[in-house]
Amino acid sequence: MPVTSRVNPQLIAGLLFVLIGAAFLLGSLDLSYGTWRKIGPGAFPGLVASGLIAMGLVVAFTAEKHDTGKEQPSLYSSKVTFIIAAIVVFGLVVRGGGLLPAIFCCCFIASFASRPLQPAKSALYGLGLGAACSLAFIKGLGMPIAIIGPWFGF
Amino acid sequence: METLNALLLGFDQAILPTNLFWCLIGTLLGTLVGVLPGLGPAATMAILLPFTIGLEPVTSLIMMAGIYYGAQYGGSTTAILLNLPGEASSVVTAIDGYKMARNGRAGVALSTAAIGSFFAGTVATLLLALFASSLAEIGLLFGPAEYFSLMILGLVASVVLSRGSLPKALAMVFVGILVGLVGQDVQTAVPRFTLGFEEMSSGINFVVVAMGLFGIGELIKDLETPESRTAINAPFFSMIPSREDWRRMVAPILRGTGIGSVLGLLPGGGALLAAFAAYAVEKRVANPPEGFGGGAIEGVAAPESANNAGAQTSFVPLLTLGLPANAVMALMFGALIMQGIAPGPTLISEHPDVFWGVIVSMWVGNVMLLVLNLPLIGVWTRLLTMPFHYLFPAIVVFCSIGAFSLGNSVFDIWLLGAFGVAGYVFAKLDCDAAPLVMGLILGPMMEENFRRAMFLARGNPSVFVDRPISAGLLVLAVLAIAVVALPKIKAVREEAFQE
Repeated sequence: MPVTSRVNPQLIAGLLFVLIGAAFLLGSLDLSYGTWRKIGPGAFPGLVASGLIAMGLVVAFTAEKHDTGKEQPSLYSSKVTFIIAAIVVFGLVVRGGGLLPAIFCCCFIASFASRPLQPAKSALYGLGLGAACSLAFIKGLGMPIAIIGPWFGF
Repeated sequence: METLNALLLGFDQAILPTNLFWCLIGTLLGTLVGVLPGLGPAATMAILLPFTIGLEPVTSLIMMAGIYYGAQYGGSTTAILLNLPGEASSVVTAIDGYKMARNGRAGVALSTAAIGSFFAGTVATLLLALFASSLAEIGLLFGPAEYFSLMILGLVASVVLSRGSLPKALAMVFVGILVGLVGQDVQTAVPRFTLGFEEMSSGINFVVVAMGLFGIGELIKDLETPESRTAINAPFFSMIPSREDWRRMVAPILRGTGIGSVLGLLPGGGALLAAFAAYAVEKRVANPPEGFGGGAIEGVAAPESANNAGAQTSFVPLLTLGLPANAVMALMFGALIMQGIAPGPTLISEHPDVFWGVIVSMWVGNVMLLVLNLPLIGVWTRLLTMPFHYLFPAIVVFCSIGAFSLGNSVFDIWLLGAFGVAGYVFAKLDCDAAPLVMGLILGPMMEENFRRAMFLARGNPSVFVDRPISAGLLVLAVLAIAVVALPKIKAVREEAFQE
């Protein structure tokens, strides 16, 4: 596979660095670079971003040498999706729904990322965890958030 | 005498019931994560950081420190009993320790590790007490130019000592610096790289980044490696080392303690490097009848002493100069900032209770570990069989609550998700996240000192090489890079991290 063999983690990492560097370099152009004596807010980020682009190029161009024929990892994994979804749902629910429902949803969704628990078991676990955290963080540490939020008419 | 008084002040702090309690919690938690492979001390500290806001500064630091050195103990327990080094710093312990366990000397190996760690911890505490104040006095002489150069050296050292390729680690440092610069510019109040989000104008919270990269990132990676943990019942026989064992462990413990104490002091150093170096030296010096790898007690005593000594002395640069030496210290730095304490040379004089309290509590924590750990070994090994699928949803929940509780802002939860993805991608691409976190912490300080130094020098960049201390630090940084770039040393370095 002559085409795919170049697409190795090194190359992707290098390109990613170049991309991040370029984004910050562009952003820094909007800011003042100042003078040597009074250095502006843009100069240091600009310098570092240029360094990042340079390093990214080095990483990308030395890619093949470092490729030891290891198994190429696939970047995508359904597990990431579940974990990130769990975090996002927590964020969506916590204000309106309250801490307990947020933890319940978060825990329930996250549990799909592993060997599937039986849904009933995992729901029960979520409820228990939610109750325990509500007690500890809201009653114990005084976190300013409702256990059951306004969505449920409280 | 002065040191003695200071130590007594520290004792007053360390034996307060609250501090004792949180020290115990910290060391137990640390041992737990040390036993469990995957979740490291950095991840644990990151996850717990937001919840320590409510504690007194000294208490929260004591707990955090407990997690760090507790993890060293826990890591060695599983390394010896199950050949599963829970921490990277126990990898070398597993070589001879597990062999000893197979030979029916598990108890002796565990005792050796505990005794070595305790001795090293005691010596390192004393060293800290003796030399920290003088180092802080040197730190007081530093101007912005010296600080800038010191940070360059710190970053270079963390890059040189990290795993993987040098350009990659450097790139990760740069990414970290850039992320650290997001938010309002300190001098001109201009918002930078905020993408128009008002929530970002105060900067991206360090804790969220650390939780995302270390906590969530590592978690997803762990989920992908299939579970293969089976507890083995190692026969214990005797815990008490024979007279012969005692005779053989003394020299390695002394050597390990010495190596660990010195390497821990270096920027970029710490427990991991100390353990590897001590084992390498022991291989050259000692001549055990079994040979190394065959269950030599020297191969357990030296690295275990070294990693504990290194873990402890790596607090010195942080507490005296404000320079975190590694990712774990960067988290300690974050904890100090959260508590409103600026780490740096003035820490000892302005917050002597915090400084000495933390130092003495490390010794107290080591006593706790020595007393508690050996009887609890059965519990720890049984925990290994605890199903991971119960643990990880709880970790996700804790991270989310932690991110939210930082500023009661949902925005931080989105950031947590984003950095979780980033952590996963970096892990997949074989990029170590530790240099990024170092850059994140040091970046903003570097910029500030750079700008201040340039202003004081009326725009003359030669200020960094004209001032002798600054020039010396820069030369060291250049040397460090040059040395690693040499082909021969490069090979050794790669080999060292392969083991």
